[in-house]
Amino acid sequence: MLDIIINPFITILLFLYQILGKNVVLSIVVFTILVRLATYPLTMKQQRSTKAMQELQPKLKQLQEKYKNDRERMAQAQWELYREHGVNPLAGCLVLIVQLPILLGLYRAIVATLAATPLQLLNLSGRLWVPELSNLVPMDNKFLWLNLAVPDPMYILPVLVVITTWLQQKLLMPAMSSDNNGSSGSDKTADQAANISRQMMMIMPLMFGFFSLSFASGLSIYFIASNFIGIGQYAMMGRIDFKQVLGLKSADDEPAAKGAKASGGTSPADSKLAYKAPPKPKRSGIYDSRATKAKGKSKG
Amino acid sequence: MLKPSIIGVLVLTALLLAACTGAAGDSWAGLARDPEQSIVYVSWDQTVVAIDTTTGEDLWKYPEKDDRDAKFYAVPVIDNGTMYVGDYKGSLHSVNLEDGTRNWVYEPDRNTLVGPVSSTPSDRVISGVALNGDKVFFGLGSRNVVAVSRETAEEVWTFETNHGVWSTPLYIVGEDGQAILYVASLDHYLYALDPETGDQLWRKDLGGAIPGDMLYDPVLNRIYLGTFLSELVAVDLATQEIVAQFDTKGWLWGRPALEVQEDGTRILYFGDLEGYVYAVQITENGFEELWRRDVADKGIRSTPLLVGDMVIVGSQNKRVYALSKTDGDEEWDAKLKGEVLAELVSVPGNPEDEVDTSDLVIVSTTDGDDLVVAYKSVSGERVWRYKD
Repeated sequence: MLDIIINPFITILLFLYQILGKNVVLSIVVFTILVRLATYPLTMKQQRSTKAMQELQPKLKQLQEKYKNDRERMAQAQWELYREHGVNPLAGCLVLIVQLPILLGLYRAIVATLAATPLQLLNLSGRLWVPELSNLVPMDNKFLWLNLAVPDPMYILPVLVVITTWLQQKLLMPAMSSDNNGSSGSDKTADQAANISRQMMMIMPLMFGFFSLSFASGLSIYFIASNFIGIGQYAMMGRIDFKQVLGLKSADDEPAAKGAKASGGTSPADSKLAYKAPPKPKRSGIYDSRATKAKGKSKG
Repeated sequence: MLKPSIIGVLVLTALLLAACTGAAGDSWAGLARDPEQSIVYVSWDQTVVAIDTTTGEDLWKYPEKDDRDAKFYAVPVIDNGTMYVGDYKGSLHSVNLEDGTRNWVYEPDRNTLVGPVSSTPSDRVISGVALNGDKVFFGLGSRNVVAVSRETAEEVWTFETNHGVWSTPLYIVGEDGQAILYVASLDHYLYALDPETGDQLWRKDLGGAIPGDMLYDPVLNRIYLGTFLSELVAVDLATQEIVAQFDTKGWLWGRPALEVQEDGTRILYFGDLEGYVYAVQITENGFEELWRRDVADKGIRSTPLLVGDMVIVGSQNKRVYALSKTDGDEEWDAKLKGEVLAELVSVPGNPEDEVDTSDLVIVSTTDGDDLVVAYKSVSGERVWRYKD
């Protein structure tokens, strides 16, 4: 079923390979940019949805407190709140579901055109929408010290994948407060979520690093390009706080709502799995937006 | 402590990536017959197995169980009581045919750190080998051709092309006594090398990748080979020019099979990756199509087998087809559990035997349950099968 995505991707990748001087790395990078641009509306939609959900968090928390002993009423109130604000809580997931086949198609196209094994090369047959591109198959797999069809024997690409994945996660991850040690239920939830978020920030780069050790280094090129493009994309939107990453600003200085903006994207390591930090409540279950704003202003 | 939900998400992501990078399988089995005995050898996954074609039972397996750290998919080559077979670590094994014990192993220098961490090898031997009196020649999946000593396994020379060498090299001694090693590469070139030094004598750009084996025609002093430009090409070795071309529907991977009839007519049979089979006569003006048949809905990769009046081909659609040499009409077909991508071999029966020893067609599939299957070539009746 994925063929409907993979086949045109393979054709486009080969076309890029032809017009970019048969430079396979450049082809993968440009191809990644094109896919990111094509999925940009989806990324934006996902961001808006996440932001809208984030903005409803204080009200949701109030509802949770109010109906903590009545799940049915709670669900009904939540639904009404979503309807009132025109928010679909599943919108972000739906966008991800749409993006997933595109991502898989992209991976498959890169691996197929590099064709490290006979079965991979055989399975390229009949996939080209432009048969004249047959003379480009398989793409040249040599780049610097690399055979792009196998993992990088020098470990340089896996290290770069880990670093760029971590960097992207760090840049896009919302600021997490370190003093969430309150005893209220919502504080505990926030702590738990923050822990998950920290774990993901450790695990995701390592996981992609492991993939990079195991799969074709052409795929590692894609991971790295995608991470850089993701960072660039968010930087252009003005949604990255470099000061925080560089340690020039404490996480506690971060206005809570700002964290909501860091989500979405089509990178393999995007913050799809990242925790969207809820604003820290002033008192248990009650969010004081004026206090947060004032704090943000005074620090800023 | 990791939450089960996180672990679940990570495992799911890993599975998705593994699936989408096509990590399931690498290749098909290598199948070869010892022309002097009723034995076939199949290289598949971690072993090379010798199978008695009269019973379908295995005689031995190479290597020993505690030494199975390599994968074998290259076609074994049999010569003078020895089998040569490459593996997916870029090594070449010399094996005693009597009992399947190792004579020697050539292991290339691996200036890599990948081995201990990754399951993916840095290089592979995908094709068979060519032999002369004192050397073994073989290609590597990355881009090199290697010559090693038959006696000592020492590397004599290496030659680098611009892409993988997945085609079995061809060692030919011409009428003038000059020996030349021909190598076809995925970089589109046919190379002529000095077998003693590995020096390039000449090369010819054929316009498309050449993944499959070459066929040498000693009478016309030509090499026939198929390309991913969907062309069967004849290269004259004297002039180093393309002297004939034939366009096909799909990419060509398998080596053509040549039949020389009693009146001297020379006919090539070959299949393409769109599932077509062709019969083409070699004429003074090039190639003349006799017939073409849309046989299978998936690719035909291997060399057609010529048995009696039939052309037998295996397909990616898990079927074997027997066609009439005359017009390509289907005589019989058989369904198997796996894709039939490996070379087919025939074993002639012994008409003097009291038991039924019909001519056999032996095929190998990508499914371990039907790893090697023998059919009567006349009827397509299954005789035995060997499970992995």
